Amino acid sequence: MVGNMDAIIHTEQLTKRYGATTALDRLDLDIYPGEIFGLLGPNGAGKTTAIKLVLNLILPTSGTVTLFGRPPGNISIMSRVGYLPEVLSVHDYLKASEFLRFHGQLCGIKSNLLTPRIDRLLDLVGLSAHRRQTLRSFSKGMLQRIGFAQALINDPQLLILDEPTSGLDPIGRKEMRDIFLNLKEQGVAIILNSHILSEIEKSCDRVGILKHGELIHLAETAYLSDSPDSTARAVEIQVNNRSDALMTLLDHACVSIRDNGKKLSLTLKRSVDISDIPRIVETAGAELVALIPIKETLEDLFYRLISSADGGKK
Amino acid sequence: MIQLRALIRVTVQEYIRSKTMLALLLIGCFFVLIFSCCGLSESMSVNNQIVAKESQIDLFWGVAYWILALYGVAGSVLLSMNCVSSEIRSRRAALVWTRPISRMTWLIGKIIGVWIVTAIDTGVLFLLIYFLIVAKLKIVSFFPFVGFSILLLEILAIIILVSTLSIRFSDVISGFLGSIIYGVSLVIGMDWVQAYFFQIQEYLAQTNTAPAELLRAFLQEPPSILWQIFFWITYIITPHFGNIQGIGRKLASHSPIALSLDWWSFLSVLLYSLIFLIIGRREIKRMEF
Repeated sequence: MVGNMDAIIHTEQLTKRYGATTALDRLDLDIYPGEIFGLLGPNGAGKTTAIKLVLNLILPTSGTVTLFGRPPGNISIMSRVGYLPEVLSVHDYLKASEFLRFHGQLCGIKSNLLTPRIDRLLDLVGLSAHRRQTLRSFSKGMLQRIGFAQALINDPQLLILDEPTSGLDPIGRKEMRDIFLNLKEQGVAIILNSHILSEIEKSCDRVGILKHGELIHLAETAYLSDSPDSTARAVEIQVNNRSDALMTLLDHACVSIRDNGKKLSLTLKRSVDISDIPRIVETAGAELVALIPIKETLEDLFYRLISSADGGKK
Repeated sequence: MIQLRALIRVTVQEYIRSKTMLALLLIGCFFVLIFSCCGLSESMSVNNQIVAKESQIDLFWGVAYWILALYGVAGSVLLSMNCVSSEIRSRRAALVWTRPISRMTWLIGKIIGVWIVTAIDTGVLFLLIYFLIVAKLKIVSFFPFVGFSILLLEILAIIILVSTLSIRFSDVISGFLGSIIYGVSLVIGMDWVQAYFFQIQEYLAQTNTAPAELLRAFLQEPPSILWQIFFWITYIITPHFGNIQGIGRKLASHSPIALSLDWWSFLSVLLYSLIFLIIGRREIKRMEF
C-alpha cells in the first residue's frame, strides 16, 4: 500500500532526551495519506513523546520531523491536523456545542460553516442529545467522544489519536473503528496510539513497536508473522501413534508444547523450520495427520518483542 | 481574528460561569456602599465653612478614584495570576496549541479576556460611583470617563505584568511580585515623594501640603546621594503606575494639572508592558508539555 506518495509525516533520526534519559531514540518513520498507523509499546516506550514531537508540543534534541513537508508548529499546516490527547483536559464550563465551536473557530472556520459541521459531528459521535450539556457533567466515555469530535472539526488530513477508545464500551469501540475506516477511505492518515492490541490489529495498516524509545519493529499488519527476525513460530499438529520418543524429540525442537487432546500446539525454536516437523514425527515412528501453521497475532508478536532481552531488531 | 475572538470569548465565559465575575462585583458593591457613607452631600461644610463645589468634586473623585484603582488593580492581580498558568497546568493549553494559532495569539487572547472581565466589573463600579456623585453634586461631567479610561490602561498593563510572571513563577509568587512592582511604582509616583527626592524647591513650595511638611520634618536633611541614586534607579526600572494613576485621578476630578500629560510615564508603562509581553512570548514559545 505504501507507494511513492509523499509522506505526511517524515522523521529522520528524531531523538528526544530528558537529561540522561532517552525518551525517543533516532526514530525514522514515514506516515502516508490514507493509512492507519498503529504505534505500540509499553508505558514509557516513547509513543506519546513521538506524538508530541510531531505536534510541536515538545522540541527534539536532535533529528528532524516534517508535517506535510514543513516543520511542525507551522500555523498553516496545523489546520490540517486533528489531535485527541490521551487525557483530555477541556474547558469544562463550556457546553458540548460551544466546545466544538471554540475549536472550530480556533481553526479559523467561519460560523456559517461551523453550525452544520457541529451538528454532523455531534450526530456522528452520538452526542446530539447532549449538545446543551456542559462538559463538566460528561462521563469519561462521553468526553472521549466529544474529544474525538473536536479532532475532526477541521476535516483533518492527519488525525493523531492517543488512546482513542479508552473509556468506551464495546459498541462505542466498534463505532469508532468504523469511523476510522471511513476516514481512511477518504484519504485521511491516522496515527493510533493504543494499548488495546486487538483494536490496532483490526484497524491499522501498519504498526510500529517502540521499546525504550527505539523503534524495534515496523511492519504491515497483514504480514506481521512474516517478520524475518522471528525467534519462534507457532504450529498445530495432529499425529497418530503418539509416543514418549516423539514428545522427547519435539521437546528438543520447540520452545513450548501445549497438548490440546487431539492436537499439539507447538512453538518452534529459531533453529527449527516448519518443514522439519514431518521428519521428526517420522523418526519417532508416528504418523502425521495434519500440520497447520498458526499466524502469529499482534499480541503474540508484541509480547515476544517486548519481553525479549535484547529488545529485538528493526 | 476569528481565533483571537474565540479565545477572548471563552476566557470571559470562564469567569462569568465560574461566578468569579459576580463575586468580584459583589465585593465592589461593598466598596461603593462604604463610599456612599463617607459624607457625600450637596452642601458639604468644614468648620462651618461651605466647601466650594470644585473642591468637593476634587475630593469626591479623588477618593472615588482611589477606591476604583484599588479595586481594579487588586481584581486584575487576582484574576491574572492564574489565568495563564492554570491553562498550562491543566494542559488545556496543549490542546489549543495544536490548533493553527500562534502561542502569542493564545497569550494575548487570555490577557484581553481577563482585561475585559476586570473592565466590566470596574466599569459597573465606576458607573455606580459616577451616578452617586452626579446625583449628590448635580454636576454632569465627561472628565471622570477620561480618568477611568486611563485606569483601564493601567489595569491592562498590570494584567500583562502578572500574567507573564505567572508563566515562570507560582500563582502566589507572581501575584506577590506584581503587587510589589505596582506598590513601589505607586509610592515613587506620589507627588510629595518625587518632590522630596527631586529636590525641586519651587515645586516643594507649590505642594506645601501636610504630607510634604511631615516628610521634611521627619527627614530634616536633604536625602543623601545614596538614597537619591537608589530612588533614581527604582524610578527608572519600575513602570510609572503612580504617575499614571495621579494623572487619571486628576483628570477624573477635571483638574487642569492633568492636562499637562506626562508622556514619559505613559511610555514607561507601555515599554514595560511590551518588554513583559516579549518575555512571555519567549517563555511560552520554548515551553514543553
